[in-house]
Amino acid sequence: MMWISTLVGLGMAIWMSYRCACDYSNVLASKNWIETSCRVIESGLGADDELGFPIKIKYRYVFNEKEFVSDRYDLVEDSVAPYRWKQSVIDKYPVGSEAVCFVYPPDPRQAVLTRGWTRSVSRSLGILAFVSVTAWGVFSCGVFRLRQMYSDGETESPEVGWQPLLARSAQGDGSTAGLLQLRPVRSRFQETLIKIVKRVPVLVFALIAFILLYLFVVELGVVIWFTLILLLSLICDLFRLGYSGVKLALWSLCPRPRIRANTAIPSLGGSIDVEWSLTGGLPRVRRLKILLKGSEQTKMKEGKRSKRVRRETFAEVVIADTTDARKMMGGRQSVAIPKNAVPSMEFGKSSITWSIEVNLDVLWWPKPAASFPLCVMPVSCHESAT
Amino acid sequence: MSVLFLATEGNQARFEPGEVVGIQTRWDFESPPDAIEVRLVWHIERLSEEKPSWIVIPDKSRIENPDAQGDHACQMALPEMPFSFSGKLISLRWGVEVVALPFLEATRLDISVSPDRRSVMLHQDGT
Repeated sequence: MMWISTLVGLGMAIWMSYRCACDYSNVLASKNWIETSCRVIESGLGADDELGFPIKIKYRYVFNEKEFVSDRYDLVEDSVAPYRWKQSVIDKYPVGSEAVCFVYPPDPRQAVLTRGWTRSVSRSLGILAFVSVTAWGVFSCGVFRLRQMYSDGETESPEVGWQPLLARSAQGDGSTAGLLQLRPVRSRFQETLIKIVKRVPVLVFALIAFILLYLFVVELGVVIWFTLILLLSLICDLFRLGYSGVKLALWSLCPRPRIRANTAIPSLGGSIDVEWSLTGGLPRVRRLKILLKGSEQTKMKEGKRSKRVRRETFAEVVIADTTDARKMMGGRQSVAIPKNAVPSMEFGKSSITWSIEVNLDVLWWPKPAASFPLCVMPVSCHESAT
Repeated sequence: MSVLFLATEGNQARFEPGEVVGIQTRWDFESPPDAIEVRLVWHIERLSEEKPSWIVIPDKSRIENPDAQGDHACQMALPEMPFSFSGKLISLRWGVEVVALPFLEATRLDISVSPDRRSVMLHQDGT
């Protein structure tokens, strides 16, 4: 959609440039037209058609001892100008009044009542500037998106290589009764909120662009379908934003899980004490499931353009799986970390991650979930660190 | 015809992290190379990628201006991490490599490095 808009925008910019160039060359050429007196013989506004009320003006003039009649007001016909402006032109030239017109000497049949920098040239330049800026903006967005898509592969340098995943969040938030409060990675709630916040400026830009383009395009009476493309894209975006907003509102009402553990850096083959609790929330939770998960994940190319993070779980240990309301509100469990596994690692766009996953089952509600990362160390590394 | 031979001590292919690897290498070239480098390397294999990038451990044995034919034995310590593992999406492989410069002729020997000396299979079904 973005590329179609860019191409249409560029096409319009080229067309407007051509139009501006023609108008301006006419304006320059009109400087040599001869000033001649004339008499207005007809003055008024025509019937309302697709382009509004056209100016109907006729005047008689004598040039080289020959009489001519012209019906042109200015060099560039501006039939779509506002009604008030057209009325002011008519008022300025009542029937029978004496006026000054400008005659084209090589062909005296051509004459106008006004010349120079006309209203329509200014407007054409305005539209050209606007369309160019819009096309540039959309094009820049496209380039930015492409760069993002293709930069993933470039940012990874094999020399950076492996490093243990000492995740910041895994350090916890202080301790209570010997337990660390684990900090969750971005929840679906936060992800959605970030998505909405990122989307708002684009939407505002699109909305302004749409309104302005709609005004210009309707005034010019051309390519209505172009506005329809923009309108459809805008409606899709607004719909997506609305859907995310509703989900966000529903999630905000859900109970929030809290996880505390005796360590955020357990070792392979060791154990970890996990304490959970649910706070707040309006809807009733039907089931609570807490899992210790080990996963391998990597960013993979899908087709020519898109990339997707693929994740495969290699270890899954159930910490809690209950429908008992009392147990769901809080509990404690010790869990063993599998010995024959690999510790947390990061290799550019691939990683081995360990986390405590909390899944809530709430009736008629988008499923809330939270992930609390752990940094699982190999036995020898951990021992040497402590 | 050039020959570049590489073997570990006792043809051992499984090691523990931090263990010292005994490496023997032998070469036979028509003209002497500028240098022979013996090094420990590892790389990540991704499901979607055909070309793996080998990462060279900085500790390497280098023989400057060797003869056209010769042999060399050295010992190199493996680092504590990373382990060899094999998953559905990513796998990590270790190797010992000998390279003749500037010909860039190389021979690589696969080894596994993990606490139980075998490449860790992440998934139970062996993939």
